[in-house]
Amino acid sequence: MTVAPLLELRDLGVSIPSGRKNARADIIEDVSFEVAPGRIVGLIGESGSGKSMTAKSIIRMQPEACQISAGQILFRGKDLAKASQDEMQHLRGAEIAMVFQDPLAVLNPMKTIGWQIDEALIVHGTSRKAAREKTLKLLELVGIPDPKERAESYPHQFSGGMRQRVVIAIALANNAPLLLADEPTTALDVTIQKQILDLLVDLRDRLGVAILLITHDIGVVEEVCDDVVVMYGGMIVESGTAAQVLAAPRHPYTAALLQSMPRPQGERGARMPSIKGGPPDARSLPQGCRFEPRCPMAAETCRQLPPMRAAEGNALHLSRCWFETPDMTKMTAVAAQPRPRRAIGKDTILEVRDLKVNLGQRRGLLRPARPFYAVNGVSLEIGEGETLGLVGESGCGKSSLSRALVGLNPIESGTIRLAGRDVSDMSSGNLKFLRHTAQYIFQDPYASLNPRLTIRQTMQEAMAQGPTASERHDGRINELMELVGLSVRHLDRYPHEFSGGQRQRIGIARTLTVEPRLLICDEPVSALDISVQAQIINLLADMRDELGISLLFIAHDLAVVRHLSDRIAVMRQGKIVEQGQTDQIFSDPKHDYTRLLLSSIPGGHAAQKKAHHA
Amino acid sequence: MTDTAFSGPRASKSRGLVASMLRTYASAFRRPRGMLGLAILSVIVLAGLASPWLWPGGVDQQSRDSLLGMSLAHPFGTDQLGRDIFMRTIYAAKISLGISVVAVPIGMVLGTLMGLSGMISPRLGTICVSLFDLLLGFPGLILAILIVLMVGTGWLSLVLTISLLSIPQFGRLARGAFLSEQAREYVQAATLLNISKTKIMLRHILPNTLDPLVVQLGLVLINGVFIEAAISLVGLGIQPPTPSLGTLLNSGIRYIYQQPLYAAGPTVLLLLLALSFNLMADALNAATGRDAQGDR
Amino acid sequence: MIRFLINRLPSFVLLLVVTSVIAFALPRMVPGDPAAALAGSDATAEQIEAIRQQLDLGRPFVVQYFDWLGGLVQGDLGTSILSGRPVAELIGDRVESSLELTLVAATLMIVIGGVLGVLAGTKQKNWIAGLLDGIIGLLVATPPHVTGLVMILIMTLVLPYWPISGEASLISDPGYGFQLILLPALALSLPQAAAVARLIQSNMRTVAQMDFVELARAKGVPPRRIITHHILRNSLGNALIVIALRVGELLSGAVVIEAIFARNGLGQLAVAATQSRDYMVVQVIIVGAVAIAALVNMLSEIGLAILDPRIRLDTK
Repeated sequence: MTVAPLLELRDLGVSIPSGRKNARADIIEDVSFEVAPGRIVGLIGESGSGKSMTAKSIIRMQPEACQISAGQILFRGKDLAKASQDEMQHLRGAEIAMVFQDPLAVLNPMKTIGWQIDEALIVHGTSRKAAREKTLKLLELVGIPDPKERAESYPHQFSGGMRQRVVIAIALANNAPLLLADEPTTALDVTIQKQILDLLVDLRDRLGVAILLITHDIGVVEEVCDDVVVMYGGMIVESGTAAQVLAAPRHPYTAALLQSMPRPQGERGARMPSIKGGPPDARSLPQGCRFEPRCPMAAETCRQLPPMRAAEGNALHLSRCWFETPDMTKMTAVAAQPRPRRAIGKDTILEVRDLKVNLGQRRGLLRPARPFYAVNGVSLEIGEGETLGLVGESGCGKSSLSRALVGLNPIESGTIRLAGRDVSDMSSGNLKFLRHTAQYIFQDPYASLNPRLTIRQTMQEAMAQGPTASERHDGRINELMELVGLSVRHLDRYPHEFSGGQRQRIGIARTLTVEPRLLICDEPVSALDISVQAQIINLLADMRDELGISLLFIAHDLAVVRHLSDRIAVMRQGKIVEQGQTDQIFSDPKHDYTRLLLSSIPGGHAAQKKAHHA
Repeated sequence: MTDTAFSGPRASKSRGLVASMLRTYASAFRRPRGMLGLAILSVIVLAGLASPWLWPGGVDQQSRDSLLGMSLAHPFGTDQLGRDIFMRTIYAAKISLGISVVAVPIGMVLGTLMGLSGMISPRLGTICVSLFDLLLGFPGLILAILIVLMVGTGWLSLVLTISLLSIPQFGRLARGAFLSEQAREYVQAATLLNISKTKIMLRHILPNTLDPLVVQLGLVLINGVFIEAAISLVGLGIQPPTPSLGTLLNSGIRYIYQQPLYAAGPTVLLLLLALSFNLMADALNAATGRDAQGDR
Repeated sequence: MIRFLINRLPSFVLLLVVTSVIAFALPRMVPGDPAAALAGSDATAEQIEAIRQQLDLGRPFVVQYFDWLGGLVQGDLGTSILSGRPVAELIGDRVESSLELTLVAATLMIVIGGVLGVLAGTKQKNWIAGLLDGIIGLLVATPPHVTGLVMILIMTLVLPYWPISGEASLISDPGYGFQLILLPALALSLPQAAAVARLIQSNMRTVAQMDFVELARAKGVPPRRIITHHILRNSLGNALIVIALRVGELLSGAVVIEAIFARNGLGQLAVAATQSRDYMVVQVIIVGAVAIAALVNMLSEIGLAILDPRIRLDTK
């Protein structure tokens, strides 16, 4: 690298109080990397990996309890770790700007967006009048039409994507040479994500801005990053150029992560490669290599000593592992085993005709409800043993539809036939039948278990509703726990003692108590880390194949849906715009919207693109 | 994604839900605050209950020694009719507390039921919310006046007033908890498993509603004592010669220069009761893992 | 904005109608002769007869009600049976005293509550924060009458010559009037001020955790400006609603405070009229008090709507 780095972290460490008196525990250790002008560096990791904490520490905005305990943060040669808060305040926004994850929450609801961009300029010494002129230019730069008019609008009058543009405009206000972007597209729909990523690339290319992009999404890294830093358990496990790391990962974690990410063009019939277990708890890190408990290559050395970060061959491609390169034969041992695929039966389990769901609500004593059709005339069917993937962006009505199918949302018109029986009126008899035939898996594994009940109590309660004879309950509960990959000794614990992936397993076991024939899965993996996501997808596939259950699989992530589904339905604004065989949807989409969705998936075709940039 | 979002029962063995909740509440009284609060309350209540034996002459025993100062025989002196103020204060505390203890649970039950009525029908729920707003919009003493006009002065009107005023205190809490619980996915999951409404109510919604209500109970109880004092003080509550904290204050304030202890006694007792109930509420709050203000 | 008002109006009207119907119906529901009930407990036979003539009690209830309501709207508040004086005159005599007390108390409540709340809501040294929390907690837990009693007790010990009971007009005798009003107004306002302070404090703490405050920090906005321009503005909305709710409490508290400090305000009039069952007077005071409380409440919601662009600009 010939250009001097703009930002250089040297052995950064951050610690928190460890519960015991005066003792502190490191949550970030030995973090070193650099960001050069005109490059996008992807800082990638799962929840708890310390990636956000690293970014916040750079501008010294980490939570108060977290202290920088070691190392240097060199920005243009000056050590920010030792700078006073006063100095930092002058640096923030002017020299180092930040873009946050949730554009809905980061704008002050009480102030016009013009005021908020002005403020970024005024606090760094621009006059009021000059600030407004610059603001209008910035709004134009980030692609907001009618800047003059829109500057007087309030945040709630903007869509999510537009608000993220405003946040980026604020970050750009003082021509800061370094931009820290903390999951800038995670809260956005895939089509909007594409626009924001394009905007970031444009800023790099046209203004030469250096960007540190924090993300958990490998697709995003593939799409836009020049360099990659992979974090795990508070440490960097691998770093290098995007081309090096993505094409030939040296650390087993990176390799496994890349494998377990569902891709729009990967193989479909096989089991998803996954990493066993879940991310480590920052409060109780393993003594040796942090990845050792989950690593398929782990040896005795790994258990005892943490490895150093080392380069082999290529000086810029560093990996923190006792092994030089991952042993792919061991890596794939956990990965792709082919899966028996049941034939799809001739019978239809679910048939929906012209379903309309009206969620309009009364908005006052004297004002009648205005109809709002979240689902506006949807027809679909699912065969015995078949999986239908339902995709669409937020607000398209996919959740409203699925909730209506199980009687959680009122049905305005249309029919629902379940296993040949018309249950549209949701009478108590029909509801009973429905709930023994179709079950529902929720998105948030943290919210779907009652925190006051042990797993056994939750399972027993559910079991009482199922067809199992009461003297068989305990045995059946044990069977189900094994089936979803948990053990009997987990039964007497409370939900908070489990990780997200484990809770989702419990949620699945609970629905199986009534022996349903159809499982409706509402974004069952979107709250989970990638490495855990694959486990749950495999579990769902196993349930389908072994028990012959049909699946309605709802997700916003096309690649995930593709992996599991026989057919796919694309939903937009309450209607299904396209429906067809999975391969046909991906290879030959008929509807413009489907095409837009497909072209917006990050990564994928990016591999070649990267080659000439790096 | 951490597991810190929930800090609830950590009991390793799973027993009945009710038992575990009672254990949680009981544990509040092993905390220093809870213990101190309970101790203060116990002393006052026991003294009140024992007063017939401590002062066999009765609370209305008059003498010619009016408005005496502090002495061994009369720790707080005597009032205008020569009655022992200390004894009357202790006795008054029993009456005032008694009224609150009768009235507040009525309000608690009614308020909680009304707050949870949305379970039966959403429309009924919203009607109850309007009722809460209506009651809150009423200045408390105006409500007291209305009730006095209906049933006359005395303990009955006090009980009615305090009950009515406590209804929205519990009702709005119950309603809020109910709404947030009802939206929880585990409640929906239970519904989808065909578990009956009653069972969902008892197992999933009520337990999580109960904690804030129990904490609130202490605060509303002391508020009931305060309301009694206020209404009797202006002359619309308990009528002399029956002593209550309010009636004692009513007379005490008239002799504030001659006999400051006359008003001071009931005031100090009110403060002690307030301290005691606030300490207990605090301890319960901590025990149930809710610290709304986060300032302790 | 107009729509917002129209939405709030029904509940306001409903509250007034319910209150006025109850207030009006009370004497007529008493078992026995309503004329005797209306005449009060100490009335003579002639007085009762006079009432019967005057109000024409034989007419249907609804007609009587609207007659009375029409009178109220036109300023005819009726005549007290006991004293024979017009109710308007009785109220007029007392209104200055009550108005002075509640206005001074309301001002104190807003000023003290605001200052305490903002101090407690911003970052302070540990012991200052603890002290503020302690003061607020203590004041919240102690209602006006107890606060008043404690103040009186302390004053009799510390400043025995400070005038405690009685009153003087603030307009005609400002010095003495101020001395007399200070204690009752403080006693009345302190508990409410503490409640306001606690709300502002917890609002400010919540807002300080919000993402937009973090963005403001990342912009390089100085800490002081973050408080004034971002946190305060977003914290005061709810406080306004609570301040309004507290006005109802002030009215209630004023009645007791008047009794303790021997002030001749409307509260004392209400109590005396209730004790002697002077329904003609009580009815008017009840409706008036509820109307004021509800009106202030509605005004505060309008104020909140003006402050918050999300409500103000919501044209639907």
